[in-house]
Amino acid sequence: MTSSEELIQVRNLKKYFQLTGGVFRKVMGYVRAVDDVTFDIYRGETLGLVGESGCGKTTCGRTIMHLIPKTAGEIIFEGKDVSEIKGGDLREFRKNMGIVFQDPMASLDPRITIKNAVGEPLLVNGIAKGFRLRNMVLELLQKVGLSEDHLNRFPHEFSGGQRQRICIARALALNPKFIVMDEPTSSTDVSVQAQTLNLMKDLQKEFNLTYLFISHNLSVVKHMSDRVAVMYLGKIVEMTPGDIFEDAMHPYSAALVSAVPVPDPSLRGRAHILAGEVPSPINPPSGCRFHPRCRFAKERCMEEIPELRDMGGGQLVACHFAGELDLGYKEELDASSTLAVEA
Amino acid sequence: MNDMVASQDDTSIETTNDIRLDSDTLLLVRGLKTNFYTYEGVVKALDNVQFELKRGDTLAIVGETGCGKSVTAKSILRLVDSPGRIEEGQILFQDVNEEGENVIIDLLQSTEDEMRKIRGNKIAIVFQDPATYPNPVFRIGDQIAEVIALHQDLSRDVLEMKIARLEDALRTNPDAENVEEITTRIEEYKSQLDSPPPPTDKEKKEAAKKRTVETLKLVRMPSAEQTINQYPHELSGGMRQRALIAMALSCNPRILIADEATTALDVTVQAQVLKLLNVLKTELDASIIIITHDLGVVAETCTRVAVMYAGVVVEYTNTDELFSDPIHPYTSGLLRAIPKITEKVEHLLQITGTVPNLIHPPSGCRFHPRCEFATEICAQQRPPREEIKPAHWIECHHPQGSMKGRKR
Repeated sequence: MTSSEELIQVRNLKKYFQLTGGVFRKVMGYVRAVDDVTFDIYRGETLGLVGESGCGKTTCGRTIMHLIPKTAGEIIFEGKDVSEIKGGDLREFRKNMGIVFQDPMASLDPRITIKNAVGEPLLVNGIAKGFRLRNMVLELLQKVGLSEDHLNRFPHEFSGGQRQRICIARALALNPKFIVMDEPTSSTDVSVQAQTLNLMKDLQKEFNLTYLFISHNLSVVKHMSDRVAVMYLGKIVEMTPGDIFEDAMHPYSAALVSAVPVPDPSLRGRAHILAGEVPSPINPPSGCRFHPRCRFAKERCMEEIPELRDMGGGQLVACHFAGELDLGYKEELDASSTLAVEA
Repeated sequence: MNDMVASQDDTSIETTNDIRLDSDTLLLVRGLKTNFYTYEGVVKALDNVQFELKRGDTLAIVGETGCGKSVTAKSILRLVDSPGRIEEGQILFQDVNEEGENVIIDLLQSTEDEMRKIRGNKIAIVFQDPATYPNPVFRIGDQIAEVIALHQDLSRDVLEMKIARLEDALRTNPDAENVEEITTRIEEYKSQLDSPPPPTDKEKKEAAKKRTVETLKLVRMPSAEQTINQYPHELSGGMRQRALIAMALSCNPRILIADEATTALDVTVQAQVLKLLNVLKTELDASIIIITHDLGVVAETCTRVAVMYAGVVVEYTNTDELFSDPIHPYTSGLLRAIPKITEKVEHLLQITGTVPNLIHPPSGCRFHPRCEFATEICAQQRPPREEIKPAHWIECHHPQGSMKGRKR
C-alpha cells in the first residue's frame, strides 16, 4: 500500500508548554512535550507512534492536526505549511484531517443523538442538511457496522466498542485523507479491540486513508502499522519500516519491546528490566535523554544529543552507538531468570 | 473428597472443622454466588464460581471488563459493598494456628471481628489504581505502620529494640559510670524475650516504624528511610504501587491479591513490579492471586489460570496448558483476538458481539450467543463443571482444542 509520496512532512517540530507560577503568573519553566521531531508520513501508510505515558505522543498528534499551536518547526501537508493557513482557509483545510480520541465516552456529547454527533461536521461545513444529511449519516454508520435504528439514540445506549465506531464514523464524515488515531482501543476489551482494529484496516483500504496510529500497546501498533516510531521524552529515538520486535537498534526500544508481556508462556522472563522511571520533561537529562537509564551509557551520551541516523533500509536510530551495541534481548530469553530487580 | 464436602454444605457452622483440604491447598472457593441489587434489577455478578489456590502458586483470574474478576476478589475478603450481597457458597481458607496445626476457616461464616483479623493480615489486597489508594493526607510510613501496629504483636520487637539500644550505648561509651546498671538491665530484658511485657503505645509506634522501613526495603524502595516521611503525591506511579505492595506485605500475609495492580503502569514499570511480585512470593512464601485482563501478564507471571466470562469460571487449568491447548471456545477466541508480536496477520480473528448485561444473563451457557459452536443444548442448560483432562476444568458443552471431535 505504501507509496513513497509524502503526505505530511514534519520538520523540527517543537511544542513547549509554559509553566507559570507566583503572584504574577511568571513563567517558571517549560514542559518540553515534543522537542525537535522530524519525520514524514507517506500517503496510504500507517505510521505507528509508541511510547510510555508522558513521552509526547498525543501532543505530537494534536500539534500535527494544528489543534494546539506549535512552538517551532514546520508541518507541511501536501506541500503547504499548515501554520500559514488562517481563517476560512483553515476550516477548508481541516476537512483533510480527522481524529479519533482515546476515550469514546468523553469525546461524544452525552446530550446529542448519534445522528447529530456524526452529522455535525457535515452541517457545519455546509455539505448537507435535512433529509440528505440523515442519509449521509446513515451511510457512514453502516460503513462502521451500525444500523438505521441506532440513528436517534444517545451515546449512553452504546457499548464502548460501538461508541468508538461512532467516533470513527464522525472522523470519516468529511472524507479526510489523514486520520490521527489517538489510543483508539486502549479503553476497550480484547475481543472488542479486535473488531475495531479490523474495521480500521478495512476502512483504510476502502478510502485510501493515511493513519497516524498512536498507542502505548506495542503489539497493537505492530499489527496496524507499516512503519513504527518510538518516542521517549519528547524525541523520536527510533523509526523503522521493519519489525520493531525483531530489529530494534536503540537500547530504549529494545528494552520497551522486551518488557511487553507476551501471551505465550514459553517466552516468559525475557524482559530486560529498565531501572527507574521516565524523568520529568521539565528538566530532561542532558545529551541523550535516555542515558540515565541506559546500561550502555558512556560519557559522550551525557554531553552530546544523538541525531537520527539512517542505519540502512530506512531504519533511523538516534543513538551514538547504534549498531555497535549487543542489545542481546533475544539471547536473554533464557538467561534473564538471573536478572536482579532493581529500582 | 468433593462428595464428602458437598454433603456438609447444608449443615451448620461447626462442620468446617470436619472438612479436610489437601495440606497444600490454601484457599478453596466453591459455589460462590454474588448478586447486586440495583434499581434496574438484580445483577447476577457471580454464579457458582469455583477454583482453588495451592500453596506457592500464582493464580491468575483473567477476563474482560465486567466479568466478575474484581467481585471475586472482594468476595474473598468479604468487601462487597451494598447493594451487593454474597448469596451462597464457601470460601475455605486453610490457616496455621498458634500450635502449628492446620485449621480451616470458612470466610463466609466468620464474624466481622474475625474477618478484620484476616484482612490485611492473612489475606492482603493491592488495588488497581495507585493514584487513588494511598490516603493523600497521611505520610506513606504512617499508613504502613498503622497496618503493622494493628495486626502484629510488636512486644518482642520493642524489647529487642531496647536491648539493641542499650548494647549500643555500652559499645560507644564502655567507661560510663552506670555500666553495671546497663548490663543488668540487658540481662533482665533478655530473660523476658520469651514472654515479653505489653509495650506502651509510643514504643509500639517506634517498633512499627522500624518494620515499615524493613518492608519498604523488601519491595526495593530506593531510600526507604526518607520515603516513610513522604506523602503519596511525592512519589511516582511505580513507587506508589511499590508502597501499596509494601503495605499489603507488611504483615506477611499468606495470600496476596493483586487486583489489576499493574494496569495503570507503563510497560517498563509494569515489568519491574511483576518481577518484584514473583521474587517476593518466593522470599515470603506467600501465594498470589493476580487479577488482570492482560493475557500477556498471565503468561509472564502465573502458574494457574481461571478464565472468567460473565460471572462464570469457564476454564481453569495451569498456564502452559491454557496457552497450548485452550479448550473453551471463549478462551481460544480471546487468544486469537490478540495481535501477536511473533507474526503479522492481515485480519485478527474476532469474537462477535459484546459482553452480556448480567441483569438478564443468557440462559444456559452464558457464552452461547457469541459462540460459533453453540447448539440448542447451550441455550437450555448450563454446562456442568467437569475435569476434562487432569487438572483442566471447563464448563462447556462443546469443548474444542485437543478435545475436538470427542463424542458427547
